[in-house]
Amino acid sequence: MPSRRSSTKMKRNLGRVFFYLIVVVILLYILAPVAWMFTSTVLYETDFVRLSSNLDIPKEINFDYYITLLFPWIPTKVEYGIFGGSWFLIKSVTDTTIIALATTALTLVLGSLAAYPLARIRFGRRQSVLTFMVVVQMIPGLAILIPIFIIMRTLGLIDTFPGYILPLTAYFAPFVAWMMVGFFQSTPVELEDQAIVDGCSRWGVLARIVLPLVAPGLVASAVWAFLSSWGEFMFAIVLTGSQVTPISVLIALAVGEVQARWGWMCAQAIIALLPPVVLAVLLQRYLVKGLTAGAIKG
Amino acid sequence: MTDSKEVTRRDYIKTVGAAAAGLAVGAAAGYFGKPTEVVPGPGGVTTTVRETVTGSVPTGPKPEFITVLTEDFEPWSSYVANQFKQRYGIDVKFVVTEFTGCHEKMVADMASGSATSLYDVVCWADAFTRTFGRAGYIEPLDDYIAKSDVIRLDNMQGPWLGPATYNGKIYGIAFHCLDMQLTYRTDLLEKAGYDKPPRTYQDILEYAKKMHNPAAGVYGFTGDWDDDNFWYNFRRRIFAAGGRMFNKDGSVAFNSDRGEAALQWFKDMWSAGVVYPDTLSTYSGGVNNKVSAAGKAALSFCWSWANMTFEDPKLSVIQGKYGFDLNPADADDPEKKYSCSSPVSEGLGGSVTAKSPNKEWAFKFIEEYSTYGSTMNNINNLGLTPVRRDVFTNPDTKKWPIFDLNRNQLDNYPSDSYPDPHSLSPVGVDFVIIRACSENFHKAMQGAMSVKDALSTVEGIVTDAQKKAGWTG
Amino acid sequence: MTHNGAKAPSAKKKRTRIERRDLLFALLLLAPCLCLILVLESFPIIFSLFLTFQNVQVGMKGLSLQFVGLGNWEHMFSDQALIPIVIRTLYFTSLDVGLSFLIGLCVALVLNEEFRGKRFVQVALIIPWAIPVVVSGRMFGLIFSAGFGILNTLLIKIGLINVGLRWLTDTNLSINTVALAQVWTHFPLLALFFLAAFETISEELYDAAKIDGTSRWQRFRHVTIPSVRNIILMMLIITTIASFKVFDMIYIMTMGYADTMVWYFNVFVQSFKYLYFDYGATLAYALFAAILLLTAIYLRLFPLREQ
Repeated sequence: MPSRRSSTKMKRNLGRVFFYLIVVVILLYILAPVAWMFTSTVLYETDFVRLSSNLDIPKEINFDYYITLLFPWIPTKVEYGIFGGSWFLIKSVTDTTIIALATTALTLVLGSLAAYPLARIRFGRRQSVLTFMVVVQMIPGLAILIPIFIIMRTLGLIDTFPGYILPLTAYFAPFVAWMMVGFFQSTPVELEDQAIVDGCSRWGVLARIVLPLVAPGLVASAVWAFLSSWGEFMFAIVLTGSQVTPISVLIALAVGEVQARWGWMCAQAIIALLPPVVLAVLLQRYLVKGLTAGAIKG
Repeated sequence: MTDSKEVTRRDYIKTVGAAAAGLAVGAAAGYFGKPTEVVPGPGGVTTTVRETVTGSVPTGPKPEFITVLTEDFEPWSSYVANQFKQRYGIDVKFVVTEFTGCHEKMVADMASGSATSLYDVVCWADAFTRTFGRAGYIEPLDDYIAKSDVIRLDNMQGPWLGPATYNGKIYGIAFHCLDMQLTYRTDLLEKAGYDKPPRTYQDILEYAKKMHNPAAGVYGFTGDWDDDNFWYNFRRRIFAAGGRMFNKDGSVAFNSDRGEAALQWFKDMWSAGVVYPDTLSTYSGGVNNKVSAAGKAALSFCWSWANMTFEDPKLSVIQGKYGFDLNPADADDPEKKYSCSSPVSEGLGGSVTAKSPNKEWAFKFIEEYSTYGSTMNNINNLGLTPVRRDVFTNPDTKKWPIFDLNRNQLDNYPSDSYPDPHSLSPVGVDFVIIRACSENFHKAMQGAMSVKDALSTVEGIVTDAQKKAGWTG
Repeated sequence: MTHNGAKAPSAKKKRTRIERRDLLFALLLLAPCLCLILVLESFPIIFSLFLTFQNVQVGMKGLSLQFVGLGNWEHMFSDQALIPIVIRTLYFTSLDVGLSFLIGLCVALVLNEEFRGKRFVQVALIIPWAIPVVVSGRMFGLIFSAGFGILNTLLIKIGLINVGLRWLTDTNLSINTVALAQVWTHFPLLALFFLAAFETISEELYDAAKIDGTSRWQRFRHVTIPSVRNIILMMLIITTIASFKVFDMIYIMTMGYADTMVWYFNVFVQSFKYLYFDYGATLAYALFAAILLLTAIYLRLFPLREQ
C-alpha cells in the first residue's frame, strides 16, 4: 500500500514539475525576445555586440538612447542630429496616436452603425451585404494600393491625416461590422421590440438600449482597431511622407546604410511597442471575449 | 515742387551723386562679390575661397517651405537647412529614407501623374539619372549651373559628372563624392605576417583565409554585399577584370567570361567561409563598421564613408589600428595596377523635380549643400569626401586620411564614367538590375544556382526590362 | 386583432409604414460605411482588375495604359519563375499555420489548468500579437543575426553547432526563419481562441468521461477536440488567409532575398521595384481569386456544424 501511494505521489510531483517547466518555457518564448531587444537599448553598441557574440557582460548601462529620444534637449553622448533622430520620434508617436485614435473612432462609428441594421432589420439585400462585408476582408492590400494612391493624390490628400485615416477605416470597418453583427444578434430582441411597442424610435432603441448592451463588443473592436492601425505598415509607406509620420515607417526605415544604429533603432522600437502592448494588456479581457464571442457561438 | 521743367542745379548734383554712388557700390560689389578664379594647383587642389552665394535670387513669390527627399545626412542636413532658412527665410521639410526607399517614393510620386510634385528636391545617385531623367521626372540643371556662383564644375572633383549626365544634360549635383576602399586592421595583418595590405582581389582571398580565426571569432573579411550594395561591388569587380556591364548599344555585356570570373570571386570568398555572414543581410552597411570596430573582421571593403566610425573616438574602440588602401585590382590585369575605383563614380546628391512649383528655390537648396561653409560642416561632422576641390587647402581636411586616398583614386585611376558610363542601363532600368543581381548572385554565391545560370537569368531579366522600357538597340 | 375582416387591412398598412421607416433607418446607418468601402475598396479592386488587361507604363502623365487583353494573364500562367514561388508560398503557409496551431493548442491546454501564476501568463500571452509586426521583425533580425546574434552564440556555447548559422541569408534556411518569426506573432490569438473554446466545454462531459475510466489522452481526443471542431475549422481558414498575406515580416527581415520570396511579396516587388504595375495587379488578383476559391471549397467541405 504505502509504496504504491508514494509512487503515485512521486508521479504527481514529477508531473507538476514537468508542467511548471512547460510554463516557464512558454513564458521564455513570449518574453525573452522582447527582453533581449530591451537589453540592446541600454548598452553602448560595442558593448552590446560583445555581449551578443561573446557573452561578455558589460560594465556600464546606458540610458542615453532613451534620454535623447524622449528628451532631445538634454545633451548625451549619442547625438544624432535633429531630422534623423529625436524630434522625429516624438512627432512620430504623436502622429501615430492621432491616426490610431481617429481610425478607431471612425471604424467604431461606421462599423457598428452599419452592423445594427444588418443584425436586426430584415431587408432584401441583407444577405448580400453581409457576404460583401466578408468578401471585402479578403482583398489583399497591395491590389488596391496603387488605385488608392491615385485617388488620394487626385484629391490632394497624400501625406495628410485624412488621406491615411480614410483608407485605413475602409480597410478595417468590414471586420468591425462583421464582429458587431454577432454582438447585436446576441442581445435579446425582446427588449428592443418592447421598447418599440412602448413608442421609442429606432434611434432611441439603438442609443439607449442596444449600445450599452454591446459595450464589451465595442471595447473589443476599439482595441482591435487601435492595434491594427498602430502597426499598419503597407499603406503607410505609400500614403505618408514628411507631414504624417506613422511610427511603423520610422522603425522600418530607421536602418541606414551609413550607420546601423542598433541601440538607437531598438530604443525606438521599444517606445513604439509600448502603447499597443499596454492597451492590449489592460483591456485584454474585453478584447479576448469580444473576438472569441462570435466564434464560440459558431 | 516738381512741376517746373527746369533742371535746377540741385537736381543735377543729386542725379550725378546718385549715379556716382551707384557706380561706386557696383564696383565694390563687383570687386568683393565676384567669384575668384579657380586656379588648379598641385594634386588637383584649387585655391579659391570666396563665392557669392546669393548670386541671383529667384524672383516671384517665396514658398513657405520646400520638401526635400533625402537619405540620412544628419547632422549635416540640419545645418544646411538652417543656413537655407537664415538666408532666405524658407523652411525645409525633410522626408528621410534610405536609398531604395527614395526610389520607391519617387516612383510613387511620378506614378500619380499629378500637376505638382510631392517633393522639390529629391535624392540623386547614378542609378537615378536615367530612371527619372529619361522619364522627365527630374529637371535638367545646366541653365541653373551656368547662373550659379557656388556650383562650379571646374571646382568639383570626382567622375560623378558622367553618370549625372544623360543626353548631354546634367540631371543631378553630387553633395559628396565617395568611393569604395579597403580598410584593414594593422594589428591582425602583422600577426599574420604581412607587411603590406592586399593589392589585388586574389590577394584579398588569400589574406582573408590566413587571417580568418574562428576560434577567436575573427572573420577574414567583411563587406557590403546586401541589397543594392552588391551591384556596386559587382560592377567594380567586373571592371577590374576587364569586363563591362553594358555594350555600347545597350545590350548586356556582363554575361561573359569576365562576368563569370567576377562572380566566381564572390563565390570563392563566400565558400571559403571567411566572409562575415551579415555581409549579405539586409542593411548590413552599418553593421559592417561595428563589426570591424569590435575586432571581428580583419579586412573590410566598402563605402568610404562607412569608415568614419573608425576614427570616431566615441564609437571606435581601437583607434590607430587601421589602415586604408585603394580599391583592389585584378591580378590578371597587369596594366591597371591599382584598378579603377569607380566604374561609375559614386556620390549622393540632389536633383530638382520637374513638376516642382519652386524649382529655383530647390536649386538654391542644392547650392546650400555645396557652399564652402556647408562642405566644412560635413568634413567636421560626417567625414564624407567633399566634392569641392578648394576645401582641401583647409587644414581640417587632414582630419580624415581617407580623403587623400579617395581623391587619388577618383582623379588618377581609370573610371568608366564619361561621357557614357557603360555600367548604367541606357533606358534607366537600373533598379531592376540592382535587385535582380542581388537576388540571383547571392544564390550563385551560396551554390543554390550555378554562376553561369545566375548570369543568364539576370541577363534575361534585364533584357526584358529594357525592352519593356522601349529599348530597341 | 383576431377579427379577420376589419382589422387586417389597417394592420398591413401599419406594417408597411413601419417597414418603410425601418428601411430608411437601415439605409441611413449603412450608407456611410458602405460608401466608404465602395469608394476605397470596391472601386480600387475593380480598377485593379482593369489594370490587369493593360500594359502599364509609368511616366510623367502618371500611368499610361495600353490595352493588351489577356496578355498579362497568359504571361502569368506561362511564367516559369513563378513555380518555385508558389511552392514556397505553400510551404511557408503550411509551416506558419501548422506551428501556430501546434503551439497555440499547447499553450491553451496549459492555460486550461489551474496553477500559480496563471494570470501572469495569460496577460503576457497577448504581447506577441499586440506588438507591431515591424517591431517584431526588427527584434528577430537582431536575434537571428548570423554574425553577432545571440541565438548563434548560445547554440555554439552549448555545442550544438560549430559555426553560426546564416539564419537570414542561407537560401535553405531563411524561409524557415521568417516562418518562425511569423509564428511568434500568430500563436497568441490562436491560443486565446482555443482557450475560450475549452472553457465552454461543460465540466459534466469531463466528469462523465472520468467516471468511465478514460485516460487523459482519451479524454483529450474524444471530449476536447470534437467540442472545439468549429473553432479549429474557422481559425484554420482565417489563419491560412492571413498567412498568404504576410508582408511586413518579410520586408523587414529579408526584403524577399535569399529565397524568401512568397507570392504576395512578389506582387510588391513586381509593382514597386520593377514597376510592372500591370503584372503586379495580375498576380494580386490571382491571389484574391485563389483566396476566394479556397474559402468557398473549404466551407463546402467542412461546413460549420452546430453542436
